[in-house]
Amino acid sequence: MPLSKITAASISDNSVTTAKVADDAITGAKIENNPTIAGNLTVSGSFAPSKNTSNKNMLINGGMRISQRNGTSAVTVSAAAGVYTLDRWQLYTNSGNYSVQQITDTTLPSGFLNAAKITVSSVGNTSGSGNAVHFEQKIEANNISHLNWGGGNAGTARTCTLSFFVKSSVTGTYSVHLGNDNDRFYIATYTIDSANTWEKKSITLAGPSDGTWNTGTGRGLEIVWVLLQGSGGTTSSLNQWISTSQTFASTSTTQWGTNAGATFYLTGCQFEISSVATPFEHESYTNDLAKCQRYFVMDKAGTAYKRYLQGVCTTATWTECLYYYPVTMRAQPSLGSSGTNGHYLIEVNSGASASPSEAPSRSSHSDTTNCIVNLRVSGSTLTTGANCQITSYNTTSGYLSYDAEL
Amino acid sequence: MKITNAKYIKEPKEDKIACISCKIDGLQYAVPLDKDNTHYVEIKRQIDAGELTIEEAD
Repeated sequence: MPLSKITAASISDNSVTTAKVADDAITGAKIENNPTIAGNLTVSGSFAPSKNTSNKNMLINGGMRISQRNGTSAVTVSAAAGVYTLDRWQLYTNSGNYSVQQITDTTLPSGFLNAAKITVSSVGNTSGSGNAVHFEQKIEANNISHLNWGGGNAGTARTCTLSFFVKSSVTGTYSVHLGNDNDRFYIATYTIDSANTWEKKSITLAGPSDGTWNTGTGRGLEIVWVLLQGSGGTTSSLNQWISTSQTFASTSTTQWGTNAGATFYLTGCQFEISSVATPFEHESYTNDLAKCQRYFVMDKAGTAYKRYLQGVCTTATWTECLYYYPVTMRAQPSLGSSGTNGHYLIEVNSGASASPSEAPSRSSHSDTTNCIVNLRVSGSTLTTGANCQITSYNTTSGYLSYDAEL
Repeated sequence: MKITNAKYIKEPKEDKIACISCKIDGLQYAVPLDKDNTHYVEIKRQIDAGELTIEEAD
């Protein structure tokens, strides 16, 4: 039989055995580009993928598991403010009020326990050209430097894919903005087809070969889910890199924020080097939390008389206590406190105690690995050199926080 | 960011500014004088724009 007449059907099942195929006879060029292997794949040599298979997600807390500030309580974000809600996720609005809440329910996509829920509390509008409602994450420049974006490094700019699960009460075409907050911006759209139904979306973009991209601990890339956008921030130049600053959305983007009581849910957010969306990388809770703590640490009272810190009375009116952050922080953080002096108590080893006379402050001798917390009392009630500790007094309302967000 | 009640705080035992005490969007903070701190960058911007003044330390 001529070779040209031999088809796959001419060869009986299992007749071509491994022994009958010469070593290296089947080259990579003869294998289709995107094969699907039904069984298990075993690699006896090294496995050398061209991109990360772990730590691939440049977004932090994409599964919305970490919520140090508010737990599962809803927080209302009012106009003209950008407020961090779930860890690493910020809601910005200058038109209308919106509540943001970490939620869990049985309708979430398989494998997910949490999502961010945003609800319109007081509708916004598009009468102002700069009006906007954005749910966003700013990625540290250190964490995108391997993308070769901007052409500064050897190698081509990497193609990346953004994927996420979304559910909204309002169907339509929505916009996502990716940009360096400087001179390169990319606006893409996705469509929510069915109201109140989880849908998975993905957006693939070729990396920019130019533009000014930060390196180091500053802002690298902003990814913004646009929920309302005035005309001044819209464009018809979609799916391409543009240099027009303050451009966030398509001219035909859905104005979700103008719908009273509307809801928008988001989870499973992943931004990775890839030309396709790969499954969401579920990291350990420890990893998720530690990544968040580079930007924010919350030390809540939780119980009455919680011991926050221990240190020494440096004078008759001042104490100095040392706190080591769980991980090195991105920048020297701001020290947050409840604003109520009665939420804190200074106890000294003599058995005496005193209430602070002003909010906790931080020493300039602090850095990105530790914070020296200073507390002052009125009068001269402390003993210089005595050991002391800062407690939550008889309350669960106090906290100390360390904020180095972007 | 809405910044109010801004005041310099000195080191307890040194004649040196330790931080800026202020309320940011209603929450109490002690902000370091660090150019990489987002709050400090915004405080500087508002001072330069004439929108904010900081009370001197005691």
